[in-house]
Order: sequence, then structure tokens, then C-alpha cells
Amino acid sequence: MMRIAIAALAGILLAGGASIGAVQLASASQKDPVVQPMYNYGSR
Amino acid sequence: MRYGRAFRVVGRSRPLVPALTGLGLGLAVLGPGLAPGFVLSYDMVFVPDPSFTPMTFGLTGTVPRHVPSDVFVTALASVVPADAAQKLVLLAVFVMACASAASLVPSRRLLPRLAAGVCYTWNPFVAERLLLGQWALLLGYAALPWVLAAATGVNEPGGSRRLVRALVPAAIGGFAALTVSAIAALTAALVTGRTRAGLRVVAVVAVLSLPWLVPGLLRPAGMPEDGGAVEVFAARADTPFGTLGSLLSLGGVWNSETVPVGYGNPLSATFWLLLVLAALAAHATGLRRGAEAWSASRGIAAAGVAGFAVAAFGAVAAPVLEGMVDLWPGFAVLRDGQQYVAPLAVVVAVGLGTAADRAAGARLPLVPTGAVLAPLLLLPTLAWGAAGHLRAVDYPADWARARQIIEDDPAPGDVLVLPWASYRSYPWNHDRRVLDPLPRYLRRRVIVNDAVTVQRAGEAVTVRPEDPRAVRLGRIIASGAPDAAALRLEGVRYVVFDAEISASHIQRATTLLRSADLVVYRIDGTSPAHEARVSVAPVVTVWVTVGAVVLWSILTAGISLSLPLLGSIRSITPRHPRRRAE
Repeated sequence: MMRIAIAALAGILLAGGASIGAVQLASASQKDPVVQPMYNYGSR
Repeated sequence: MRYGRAFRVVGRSRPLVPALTGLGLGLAVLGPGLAPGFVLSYDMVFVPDPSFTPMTFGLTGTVPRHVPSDVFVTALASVVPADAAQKLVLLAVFVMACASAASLVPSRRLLPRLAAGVCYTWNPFVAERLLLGQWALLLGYAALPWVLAAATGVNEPGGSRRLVRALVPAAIGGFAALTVSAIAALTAALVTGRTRAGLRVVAVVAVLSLPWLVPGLLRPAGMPEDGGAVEVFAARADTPFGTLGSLLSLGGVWNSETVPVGYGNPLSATFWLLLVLAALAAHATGLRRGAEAWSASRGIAAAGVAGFAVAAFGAVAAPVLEGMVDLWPGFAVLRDGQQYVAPLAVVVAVGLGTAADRAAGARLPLVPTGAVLAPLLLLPTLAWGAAGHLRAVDYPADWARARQIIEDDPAPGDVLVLPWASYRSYPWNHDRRVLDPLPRYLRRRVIVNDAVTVQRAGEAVTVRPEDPRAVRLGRIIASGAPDAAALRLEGVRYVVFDAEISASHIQRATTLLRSADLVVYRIDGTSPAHEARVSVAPVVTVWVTVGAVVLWSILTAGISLSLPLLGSIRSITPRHPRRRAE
């Protein structure tokens, strides 16, 4: 019983993570993160 | 007991699977960056056909932060094309990171070792520093597990040589990489081997630091200082758990633009932090259990704690660190705090591998698999060039034409780069920020504004320039439109605009090239400017010395020259394995 519960939990986590990851990856590929001003090293 | 006695050496094929896994992870991360061309991102600057110049060795007035990494890249690019050299270096980071972390897990099972390797290779630290372009730092990070293993056994026969070999990647990385490794190694050695071991670590690190230390100490302008930069580069929160929680999660880089897309959202950040805490708990439990490698594990844990403390220092006690920098500018090395959590990443990775091994021993087969996959699932946007941010680009053809024009000119004189700023967002680089590549692209002495500006809370904070030539020329440029006569007196022969092309203008200078990407002006009648430089003789001596020491470390019994680091660093396995690898 314990094993089934762990397997189910792991399966849900893996599937959830993969779904979220795929959506994030797809949406992130659509946009460029760099913004003005162009001469800065970066922003905190 | 130290690693050397607690664990026995196993076959040389042991690192193969983790190394191949690291290669696979590297291919997945770099993605579009593996296409022909160069990946240019923040501090990551590679150029076609780089040349050995005085700047490469830190002989000009600039601070030698790029030494000896630029020497290594230039040497490598003389063997393979420069863009291929960049990809080789970046892939080597992933291969070494996965193999080295896996080698520290005291298990013969494959999955627990892979869990450690994947965790160490695929985490917020790697993602943020890669996006920040700090490949040289990551080179040292990749070999840090080997360094810690070597530091805990430095008092054993051959221990110093082993430490030298393990520190070679960090030594190539230079200033930052070696400092991070040195603090970690010194802590681990002092905890496990006391004063004698600590002295050995200090001696080894001191020798390997010479290529950048000597040019830095001999630099005519002395050591730069700007205590105000502490708050700019201190760690910051990139998760809901504050700065300390972010550092504990192995994130917290100062630059908000180099946080992977989606990282820090409450759900995945919570899962990741729980994973980190579980790994740390597993490592701590191992310490209490009195395993054979207890002392070595304690040394590695101590390095992780020390790293975390140093990383958090600038964030929680900025005025103290500022005071220290004012007292001695060398403490400025501590201001970019997040880089010092690297040894904590080792502890987390080994802890995760240990936990996975225990789960496998308790017949919970899904847990080791989950431990391997968890980092990938919780940080998916590191894949494919960090979600498309790391892309290979070609330098515009006009850059090559400009180089040809400038190199064909036998007349002396330096190159001034305008607009007067150190970073660029070229359209041909998808507007991604990058340190201006012209100082590496051209063989002449190139003067850029090496002041660094960071946007913070709506205001721009600028760290003062360090190059004395840049300071002098900065005054001329600040006085208005630069005039050829004034620049001529400063030894400037060429002025290159690589941005704001339409607004470029130099009075009384000859335009040699004007294109959409670049404008090149020539100033006639320039005489060479006097520039105080570092003497060549001590630098040559240093390189010979370091080369001899590295050679001495490699030419040991049982180590073949054909087997570099991967073959010479020991994989570790318990003396009494419970069962064969799965």
C-alpha cells in the first residue's frame, strides 16, 4: 500500500513538473528577456 | 579517517556513465548555442581567431581578471576553431561537474551517483552563472568536488599532487574560480587535516594563483577599490524565501536578469528548497552515523557551511564588508557573494545521492529515479540554451573588415571604443548584453570604459573604471564631442563605434568604414602613448613555474599523460559495498 502511494505521489509530481516545465519552456522561447538600457551590466 | 583510506579506488570506467550523463546534460543546456558561431552573454566573450597579446597575459593596465582563462582559450583556439573551442569548454564544464559530484557519493549504485551528478550539474547556481557568462567560474565549480576530496586527503602520500591536479580547472578559470575553490579547500583541509593540511592547500593555491596574482600585484596603478560596489553585487532574493533562503537554494545571484525563466515561482521554489533540505539532512545524518569517511564528509560539510557564510556576508553585513574593502581592497573578492555557495552545492548533491542510496537500500526504487529527475523537472528552463537565451551568433562581416583595416596599418597607436560603456546589447546578438568583445577581437591595445553600471532600485550605480587609460580618456569624452587632436595626444590611432552608429562623429578624423554595425575612424599623426605596463620577465617566470608544478603533479606513478583529469581523480566507493551497482 505504501509503495503504491509513493508511486502515485511520484507520478503526480513528475507529471506536474513536466507539464509546468514544458509550458514555461515554450512561453520563454517566445520572448527576449533583455530590456533597455543597453549599456548596463545588469539590474538587481 | 580521510577519503583516501576510507575508500578504495575503483576501476577507471566508473566515471564514464556520469561523464556521459554530464555530456548529455551539457548538450541539453546549450541547445541552440551548439550551432556554428559564438554564444555571447554578459561576461562570456569569445572571438574568432583570438591572438596572444599583452592584454591576454595581464601586462596592460587592466586588472587581470581574465588571466589565465584568456590564455587557455587562445591556446585552444589555435588548435580548433574558436567557436568550437567555446563549445568544448562549456561542455567540459558539464562533463566534469557530473562526473566529479558522482564520484563523491559513497555508493556502488549507479542511480544515487547519477542523482548527485545531475543535481550538481543542473541547479540554479549553474543556470544563473551560465547566463551571466561566467564560464571560467563554472570551470572551477565543475572540479570543486574533486578539489574537496583532494583537500581532505592532502596529508596522504601524493596528496599535494592530487590537489594540484584537481585545482587545474579552477586555476584555468582564474581569480574568482580559484578563490572559491581555495576557501572551500582550505576549510575542508583544516577540519580534516589540521594546520599541516591547511598549509599545503595554501601553498598549492598560492602557486596556481601566480599567473594572475603577479600581474595584479605588479600593476602600476595598484589594486582597484570601490567599497560602494558591495551592495550592488551582494546576493539577492530570487525566491520567496528571502536572500538567505535563495542562497540555500543555490540561487541568489545579484543580477535579476540572469535568473532562469520561471525560477523562483512559489511552487517549484518550495519543492526545490524541500529537496535541498532533504539532501542536507541526509548528509548531516551521515555525519552522525560515524561512517568510515566521517572526517572527510565533515570537511566537505564544513566547506559548504563556510561557503554559505561567505556568500551571505555581503547581504547581511554590507557595511562590515565595505569597511574591510576600504581597509584592504583585496577583500573586494568577497563582494559577489553568491559564487561562494558553490561548495554548498557539493554538499547538497552528495546528500541527495546519499539519500537516494539509502532509499535504494530500503527497496524504494522510485526514489533514486525521482532524485535523478527532480532537478530537471524543477528547473526545466535551463534546457535549450536556458529557454532560448543562449544562442550562437556570428560576428558581422564588418567586424572582420574593421579588423583587417586596423591590423594592416603599420602605424602605432591604440584603439578607442565608443559609446563610452563596457557592455553592449547588439541587435545581431539578439540584444543580449555582453561585455564589449573588441579588446579581444583586435590585436592592438583597445581602450574601453571598464566602469560597470548596474541598475538598482530605479537608479544607476556605477563602479569606477580601473584602467588608468580609460580614466584619462573618460575625462576627454565627458567634456563633449571627442576631438581628434585631444585623442591623438592620448595615443589613440583608431576610434571604433560599435553601437549608436547614426550618432557617431569624431571631429577631424578620417572615416575608414561605416556600416550598420560599425564605424571606424582613423586619427593621423598619432604617437605611441606612454603606458606603464607590467614587466614581462616576472610573468614569464611565473608561467614557467606554474607549468613545471602542474607537470610535476601529472607525472606521478600510475598516472599516464594520456589520462587527464577524469582518469587521475579517484572515484570513491565504500570498502564494504552492500551490493553491486544497479
